[in-house]
Amino acid sequence: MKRDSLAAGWTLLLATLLALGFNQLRSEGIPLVAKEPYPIFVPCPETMEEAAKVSLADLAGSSKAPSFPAGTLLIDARLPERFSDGHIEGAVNLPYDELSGVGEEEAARIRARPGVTSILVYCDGWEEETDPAKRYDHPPSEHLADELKSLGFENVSSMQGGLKAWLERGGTTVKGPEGTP
Amino acid sequence: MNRDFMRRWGIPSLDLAARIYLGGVFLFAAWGKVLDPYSFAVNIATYQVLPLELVNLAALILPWVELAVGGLLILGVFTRAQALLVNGMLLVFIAAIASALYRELDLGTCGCFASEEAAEDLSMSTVWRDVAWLAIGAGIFIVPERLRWGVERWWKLRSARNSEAVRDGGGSK
Repeated sequence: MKRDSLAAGWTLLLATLLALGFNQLRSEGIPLVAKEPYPIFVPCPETMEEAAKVSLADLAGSSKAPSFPAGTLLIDARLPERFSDGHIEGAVNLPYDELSGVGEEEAARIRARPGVTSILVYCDGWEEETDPAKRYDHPPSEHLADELKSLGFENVSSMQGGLKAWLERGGTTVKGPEGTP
Repeated sequence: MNRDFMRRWGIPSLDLAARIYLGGVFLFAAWGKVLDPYSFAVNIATYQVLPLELVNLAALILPWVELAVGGLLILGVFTRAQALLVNGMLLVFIAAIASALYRELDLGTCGCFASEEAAEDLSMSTVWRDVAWLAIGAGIFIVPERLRWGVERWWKLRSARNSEAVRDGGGSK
């Protein structure tokens, strides 16, 4: 038994040295002590439905400037600061939060809006995230659109290319913080 | 069945099969975690058991322990020591999973920030699976060393044969 404990100790030591050495040598190594807490947050919003994706070309048809059908509620999925800096006129701000999802209150307020027949969600325009702590697999606008659809909203879609594509096609933005749903 | 046959073939082959199975499980589990310690660190943090200072160290070292123990268990190097380590780890895992279930932590359903392995739904069946592996580990531990096929046994037989040859050689002089 003593011999077994000793051998177990040696095995642990060997594994530890290999682990630390390997971590030191490889470029994807992590610090030995985490500098900031890990994002622990449960539950994640689970989306059961997948919303459609609409490109601005579909909306604009042959004309260059895109326009939205009457009854479209534009939702800006970006952070409030970004929204204030410039958003599509008439849009409301509903920042996408992968942790808490869309709240009951916000959903109720959107439902209460008169004359809304469809919802179009946009964000900045997707760029590949390189930070490992922010590994999204889809643009926030798609996530938010999926969530809204899962909550029972109909005719929900996300705008492909986001605000970037909108500006490229000659769309304009307005500044201002107002516009909570 | 013939007692002699059991001692010579039955127990050694059962022991080897158990070692290959359990060692294989640990090697398989270790591989993804060795390559992606970040995801594993998030998994560990999600259990909310270890203080933050220890999360990364555990995420780095534990997979390599699994790797070493799995490999040495299959090879049959200090086999009883490896069986001890396997069961030690399994006990820690069982405690962690049971406490997560007790605290109703929602670990399994959201794979957002977890590696693929952790995406399996966490339930009591995970605990029972670990208990079954614990029993296999205990079985490996109690097999007498002289009935075990493996590198260590082969090495001992070889050196015994060598020293015998030396003695015989010395005697003939």
